[in-house]
Amino acid sequence: VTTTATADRPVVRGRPTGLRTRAATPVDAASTAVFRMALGAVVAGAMVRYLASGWVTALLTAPAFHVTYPGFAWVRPLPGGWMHAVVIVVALAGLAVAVGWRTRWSAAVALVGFLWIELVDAATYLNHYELVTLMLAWAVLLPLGTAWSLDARRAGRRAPEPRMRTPPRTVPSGTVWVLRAQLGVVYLFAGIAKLDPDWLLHGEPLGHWFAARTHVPMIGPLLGLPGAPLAASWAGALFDLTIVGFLLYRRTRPAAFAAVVAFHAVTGYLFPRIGIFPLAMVLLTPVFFSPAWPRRLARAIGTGAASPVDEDTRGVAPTTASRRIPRATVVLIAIVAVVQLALPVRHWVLGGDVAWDDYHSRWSWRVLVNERIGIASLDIVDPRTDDHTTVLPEAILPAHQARYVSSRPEALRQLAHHVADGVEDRTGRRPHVFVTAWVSINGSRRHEIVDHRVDLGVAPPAWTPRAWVRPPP
Amino acid sequence: VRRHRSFIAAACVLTAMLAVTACGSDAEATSRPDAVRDAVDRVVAPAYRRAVATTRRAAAAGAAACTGDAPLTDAAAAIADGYRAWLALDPIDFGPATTERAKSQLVYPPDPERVGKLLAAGGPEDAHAVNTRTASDARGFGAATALLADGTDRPARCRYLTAVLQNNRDVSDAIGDAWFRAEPPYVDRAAGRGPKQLSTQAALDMLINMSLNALGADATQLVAARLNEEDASGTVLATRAHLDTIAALWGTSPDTGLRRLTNDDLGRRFAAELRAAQRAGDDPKELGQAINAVRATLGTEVVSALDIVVGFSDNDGDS
Repeated sequence: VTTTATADRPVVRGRPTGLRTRAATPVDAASTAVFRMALGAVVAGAMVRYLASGWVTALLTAPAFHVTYPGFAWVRPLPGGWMHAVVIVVALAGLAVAVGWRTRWSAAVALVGFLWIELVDAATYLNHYELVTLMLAWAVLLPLGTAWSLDARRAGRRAPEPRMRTPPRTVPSGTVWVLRAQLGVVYLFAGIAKLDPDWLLHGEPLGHWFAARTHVPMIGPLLGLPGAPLAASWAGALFDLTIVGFLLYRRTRPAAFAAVVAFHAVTGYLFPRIGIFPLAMVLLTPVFFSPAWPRRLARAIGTGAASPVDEDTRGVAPTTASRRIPRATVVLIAIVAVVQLALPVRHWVLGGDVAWDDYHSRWSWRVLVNERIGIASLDIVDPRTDDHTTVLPEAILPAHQARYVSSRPEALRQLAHHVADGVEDRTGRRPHVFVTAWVSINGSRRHEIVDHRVDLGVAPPAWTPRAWVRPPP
Repeated sequence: VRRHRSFIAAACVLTAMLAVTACGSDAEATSRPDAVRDAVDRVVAPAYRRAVATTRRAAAAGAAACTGDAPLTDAAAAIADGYRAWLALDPIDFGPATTERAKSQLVYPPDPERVGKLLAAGGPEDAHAVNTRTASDARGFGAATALLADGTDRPARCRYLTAVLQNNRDVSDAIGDAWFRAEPPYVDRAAGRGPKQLSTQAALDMLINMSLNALGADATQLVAARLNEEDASGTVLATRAHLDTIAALWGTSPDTGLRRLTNDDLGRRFAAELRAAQRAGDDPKELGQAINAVRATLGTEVVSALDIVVGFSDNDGDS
């Protein structure tokens, strides 16, 4: 089998080749290099933002209580200033990834630190953190430091023969496909999550979000038009479900990318609290373009000489490839793929109503798909004296935690345990903790979400909703 | 053209969107700032004017009672008016009131025992001493009320009372100046007029969050009073004042107050819950249940409808 790489895609002559061979076909590494730079910049930017906003203290070290993920209760913040040090190290590792210095090791350091920060408190969960985590994991596994990196320059200097000192400029095409697939998963499941009656039939939660934004400059009046929420809901669902196809098809790719930029710009403008998610998606999506697009762009704008490997503007030299991706790599990627395809829809199997009880909403790419707002109070009863004390989450938790906890049964259970533990430590007696919590989903009428007659201070943890979680209205 | 038709299509869609935007009615676009401006001008500003005026009257009545020019009952009535007026500001306690620490200076729940001890020791000599060296629970309208109920030595009591009422007036005047006479007056900033104006969202966030804070405190104190069989009169007084302010903010008809920013069903239900709470008896259990209903709807459906950031936290949201 003879496989020839061009700037755009592998050209395969002869009989059809297997997946492992096609995945090993070399393609221009330029787009993966730009992807790596964008990823590193996003990581570093996110960490700088964390530091500048004072979130290391406010979100990680100051709270005495953290909402934990099932199985990860052992992940705790470091005391004192050490958590700041972790964030700084992750920021530096992000920069190292961006410039391609010891790329895999830098990505590994950033991955561990970022995951740590992310797992400390479920109340700080954001989908873009999950995306960045997964991309960092791929940066450890995939050869993203092949081109336009300090690694490549160092490898060139160390080459024993002058003809080998030109840095390698290709990566297996599978590298590009894995990155595209990872982004595709985000769009696909964000779209599937929108196939929901509230979203498609009632235009909610966009309806009341738009109603609150009719005064914003430029697009405000558009949001106030009758039918705008429903139209936007359908457009959003169709966008998420189809954009990957349009990005993969060469003829529609430029328009699709323009749509991606417009979509995320509007989303970021209307909903600034979703953080750097829109920016991350816009910066990472160009990986859908031809692997040689950065080289072509550099040439088009006349700065081609800026690239240390760009003397050959035709792209990548033809290569004869007979290598195949190792079977173990394929198996690993297949396992990751199965997990990633199963995790977002686990609520179909495990039960519960994800929009109501929220048990399986994390790691599911349910981006802005519904709004849940709750208010709660905890009635603490001394079993011996029958003395009652009422505690409000907002009185004992930072605002972001109170907001998160008040509408989620599992978080309420964890808070009830935390309160009961505190009282037991002080008095030697474990109190009953009864929780009254009202929740409104997508602006709907409020309903009680947990049974206020059940002592949540002794309720065991569970992966799925238990009887004390009230059924959806 | 054929080569760039996807770009052209995207450009056409964008142009159409901008055209629709330009042609769209702006009636909806102004309703939210209008509602906030209306709430500030119709409810918030008059409430602050009333509080400043009643505080001045209380100071004058206290001084007149101490010099024997007027009966103590007049002073008691004036102080009660001032107390109620400031309690009513809890759900709209933002801006200059926060800067001047109005809560701790004027309406902190009193500790009659501490007031009695301070009085026995001669009391603070002047308003400055009250402002800077007296505990929050031994000053403000609560302490003034406790002093009037105390039947001890008249000169010392009058000195303490006069100092407290003078401090009330100084703090209140400073807040009134900032609201209405500063450049720019805070009332204009809050209403979204002129320079340094608050955003509509910031003003709404403050109104709803402060209302939730006030109701949360009421709910917990009513439960404590009920279960511990404590005197709930102070909490009931505060709760009623809070309810009146929140009801005024909400509006009385679908086209008034913040109610105009929500759908008819929510507007009607929340107004009914507010009315029920206003009509509830003084029994802490009955009033507490009514308050919990108001708080639950305000903290969920109203927060959702008005897109409020509960707790003012500015970290990235839930996405």
